[in-house]
Amino acid sequence: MPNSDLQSAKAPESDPLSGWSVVVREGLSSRGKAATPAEERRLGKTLDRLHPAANVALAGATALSGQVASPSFPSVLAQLSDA
Amino acid sequence: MHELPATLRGLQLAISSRRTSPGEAISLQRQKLKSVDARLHSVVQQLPDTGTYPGPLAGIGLAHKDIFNTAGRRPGAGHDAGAASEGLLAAPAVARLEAVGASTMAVLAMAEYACGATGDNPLFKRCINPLNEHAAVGGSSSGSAVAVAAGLVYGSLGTDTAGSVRIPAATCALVGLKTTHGLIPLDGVYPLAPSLDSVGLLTRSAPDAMHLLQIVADTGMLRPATSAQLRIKAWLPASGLHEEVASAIQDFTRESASTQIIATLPQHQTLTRLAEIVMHTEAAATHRAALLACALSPSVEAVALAGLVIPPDWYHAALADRGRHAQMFVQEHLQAHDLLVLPALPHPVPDWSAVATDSPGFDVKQLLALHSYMGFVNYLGFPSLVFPIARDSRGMPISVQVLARPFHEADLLAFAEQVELRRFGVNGFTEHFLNQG
Repeated sequence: MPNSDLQSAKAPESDPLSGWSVVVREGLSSRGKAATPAEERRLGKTLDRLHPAANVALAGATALSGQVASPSFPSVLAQLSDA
Repeated sequence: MHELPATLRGLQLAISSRRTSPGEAISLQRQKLKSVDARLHSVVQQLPDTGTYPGPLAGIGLAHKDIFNTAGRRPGAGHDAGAASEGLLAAPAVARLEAVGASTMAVLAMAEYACGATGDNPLFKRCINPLNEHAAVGGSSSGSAVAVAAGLVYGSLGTDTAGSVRIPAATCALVGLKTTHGLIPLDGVYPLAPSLDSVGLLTRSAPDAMHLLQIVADTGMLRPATSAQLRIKAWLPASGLHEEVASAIQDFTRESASTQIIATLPQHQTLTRLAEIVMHTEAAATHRAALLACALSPSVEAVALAGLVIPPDWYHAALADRGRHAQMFVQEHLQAHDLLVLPALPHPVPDWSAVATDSPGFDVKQLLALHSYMGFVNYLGFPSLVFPIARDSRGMPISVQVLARPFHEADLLAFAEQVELRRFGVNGFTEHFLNQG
């Protein structure tokens, strides 16, 4: 599912988690894994909880992608040790 | 010598002053390990005595979480009892300690595949907290915490992906150091989420931790301790803390009038969630085959299953954005200050029955609460130290957590040593809490 669909996904107000059920089922079936309805609902809640943070990271990563090659995370840690 | 000193440094002094020899010291430690652990259940397997070797750690008995390769043995990682593996070399972290004379006496119990905030593991007997048999032992480095707290070994290597060194340290009145990501090699360590995994240390005193750290770390990366007065910032959350914990941390921060106290850490929730995205995804990759075959125990599947449905773009973005978040965090909190003090556990150490999933008294909120202040540190990759500062109304430790910039572990340990001497004396933190239950 493209990022824009994820970011703009809004579930019906009657069930805020129903918007994630497609993502959950696609993710599981693409890997040949089945889950019970209760597990699917729990996974949907997980995605719903993580979604705002994912959006922050997606926006940050998009901003970085326009720059010249970013330093590796180990390099960043080394730089910050002398900050 | 009839009684072993409380700290590693104490035993080194006893050996250098010839009150005991390395061989006698190891013999005493092995006897104590075998007899006392019969009721504590921290040991998965005692390793053969290969003799004592010269070096600054000669005569010092250590034992490590059963997640590290040891010479000729692959770890069980909490999933089984491990197995002989001819020719297998010890993980570099273990080998470095042995190269300077340390004796690796045993491998220690843990939550299965490091997936758990307690040591609960149906494959092994429950570890008993030596401070109070009714109290929980945090995980997943549970055996390490028990063995060190009970004085059976002088230190233990653990691993920390979302608190698995810091949580057990907090429940057992130990110094628990989660190191900067990459400071100690992860080679020969069974992975959970490699982007978040860090090798850590559990000891009874801050000087002991510093001594071991200087041996196991890639020392070219460690920054020397700051010579100036450390500048402290403290995050005292306005809500979510038990009153005893809040009161203890408030008293602690008042010891330094110059400590800046903040009530909110705005990035906390976002960084915690980003850590979860990375952890679930990488745990799923680590255990993919067993996950797809429905061959994982419930505790491991609870961590890994979500990794199958988290969109790959989320995971890649979480990793790509990590450096920016680390830079912003230092800018906001660790530029004008050297250390950030924050809670370790939000509540007093719980009873084991409240956090054991198969117990009638199981309370899922109490179990989840153990992770409250942990995962975001792994996402940032920063070092963090847990140590006790006070006793609660039941005599159990209340601990703080202290963060520093990458590779500034020496500042963390210097700060802890000041607290240790001021509040608990020369025998380290843990001795103070034994026999309180």
